[in-house]
Amino acid sequence: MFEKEEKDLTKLNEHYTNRHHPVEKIDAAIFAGFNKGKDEKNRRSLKKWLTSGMAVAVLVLLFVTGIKVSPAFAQYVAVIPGMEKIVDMIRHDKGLLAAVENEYVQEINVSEEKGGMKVTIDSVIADEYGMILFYTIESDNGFEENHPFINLESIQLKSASGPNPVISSSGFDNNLDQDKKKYTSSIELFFQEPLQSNDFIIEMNVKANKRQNLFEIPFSLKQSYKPNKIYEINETVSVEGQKITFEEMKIYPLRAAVRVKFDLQNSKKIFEFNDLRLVDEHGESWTKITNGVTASHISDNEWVVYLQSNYFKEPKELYLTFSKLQALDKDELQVIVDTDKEEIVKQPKGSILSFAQLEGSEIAIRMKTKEFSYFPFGTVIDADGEEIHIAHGISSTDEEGIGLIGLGIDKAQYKNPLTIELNYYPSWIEEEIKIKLQ
Amino acid sequence: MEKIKLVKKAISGNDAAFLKIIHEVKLDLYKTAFAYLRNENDALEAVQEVTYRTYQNIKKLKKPAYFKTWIIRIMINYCNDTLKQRNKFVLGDQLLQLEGYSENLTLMEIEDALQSLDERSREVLTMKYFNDLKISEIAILLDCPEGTVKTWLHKGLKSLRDKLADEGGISNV
Repeated sequence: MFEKEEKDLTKLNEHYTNRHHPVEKIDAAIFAGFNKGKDEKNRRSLKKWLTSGMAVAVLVLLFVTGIKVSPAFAQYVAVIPGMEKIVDMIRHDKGLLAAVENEYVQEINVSEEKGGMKVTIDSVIADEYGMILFYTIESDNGFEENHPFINLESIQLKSASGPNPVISSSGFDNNLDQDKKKYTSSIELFFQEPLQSNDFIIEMNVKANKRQNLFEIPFSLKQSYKPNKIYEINETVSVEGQKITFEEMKIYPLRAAVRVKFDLQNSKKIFEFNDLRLVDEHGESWTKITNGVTASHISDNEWVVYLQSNYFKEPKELYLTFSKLQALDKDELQVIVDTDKEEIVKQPKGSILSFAQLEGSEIAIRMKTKEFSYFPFGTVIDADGEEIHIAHGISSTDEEGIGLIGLGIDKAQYKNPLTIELNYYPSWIEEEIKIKLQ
Repeated sequence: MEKIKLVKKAISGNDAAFLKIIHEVKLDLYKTAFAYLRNENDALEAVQEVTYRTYQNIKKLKKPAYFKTWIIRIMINYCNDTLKQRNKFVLGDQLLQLEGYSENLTLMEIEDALQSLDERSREVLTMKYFNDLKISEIAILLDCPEGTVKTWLHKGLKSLRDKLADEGGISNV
């Protein structure tokens, strides 16, 4: 009865089907959606981190469950309006909790309204080299269902007078929560040079409901910046023959910075300190930053590692200690893969990697290891020595504990074999090291 | 069946399985989004958002066998919402969408006619002719008897004929 119409629809379907589908872009959209879902599942908030300058920042985006606070502190938090939310946001960092506990947090409460939105800077914790701003975004009519994402597209901190602060890393929420009329979060900024001024303007580019508004909010800090505490260390230790020199440590209210150098003659490349921490005479410890910038790599052999700050404590004794390093022989730092032959040509001793095929324009490699929450792959270079663009990276673990690492690479783009640089690898060296600082 | 096992794995929280089953339906998702929204960017945004919503809600999928019908339903809901928004905010956008169709005016007319149908009719026609779903599957998806689906299909095809006749009768029998 409707043969003609049915034929029309079939024809239209064929037109859609035979049309060139942007498969690469569809894959990217799928991964973007997947990653957003995964991030939300894993953690309460995901900050987008931007870094600049020579040093490469190393980020950890784990969310560690909170640190317990004392009853007195809990009471203090309960009586100050808005404080509970702030404490919730910094619960993963002992140093920041101590800053709040010692009233080293400044109430700002300055807002700007624009395009049906209101942005308020609630309060700030700042030292010479860093600043954490707590803010609230409100919308008149809530954020629309179809475009639930409020994006904080970019931020910039300007000085009201004098030179602008030079930012070395900034962390802020890119996709904010959905379906809320009010959203509270934080922005973390660290600087290359000490701050010169107390008067600032924060520029926040907020996109919501497909509209973009630039908020420019001036604020002043009344408390002066507390000076840092410097420990000269200059001590070289050896772990399974690998020489590591601890040069100095600076403790700021927001974080502690330990400067470390690795001997060029070392046979292994160190990827990470697993458990570097400060310990006082009571055995209380301050561990690495658990959500944010954990280190800056000045070069392959010189790092600044960040620890949670014990600034507000006056320990009688203080030690820097660790027992485990992620490290791999320097001649094993590359994995070579041939995606035509679907095989791994070269890999570190132990052969825990194997080739796997994942759907989409993607190569996937299986990693047989116990829980390993690092993304092991870095730069990818093809047979012609060209660096290959990686659209996305994913990693997941199946029920047998075998990790699957996927790299989104356009198959048409490269010539086999591919050389993948290792940034992390489940291989460790261990030794108890304890350095007395005081 | 292998596929149902995979969906079950995805429901239980296995990310690799989730990605696999999404990739299996990705062209269906994109095609549906494109049929509704008629431009690449919006269709890609739809795929991203639907992947995200599916990831969040996959635990709520009761019958693994109906994964495809279920996710297409999510996509159609998303597209319907988006079109409503668009009608509110965007006027004159239609012109931009002529791109790529000038060689095939008839198809564009069918597309326009389809677009102007009521929500239910368009939904049923999309499922049947673009997503290749059986009447029984559509019935499950819409939670109604097969007879009702047939009625909607009939009604949809009839209004499609009327619309096309209105516009100059290229498709008239």
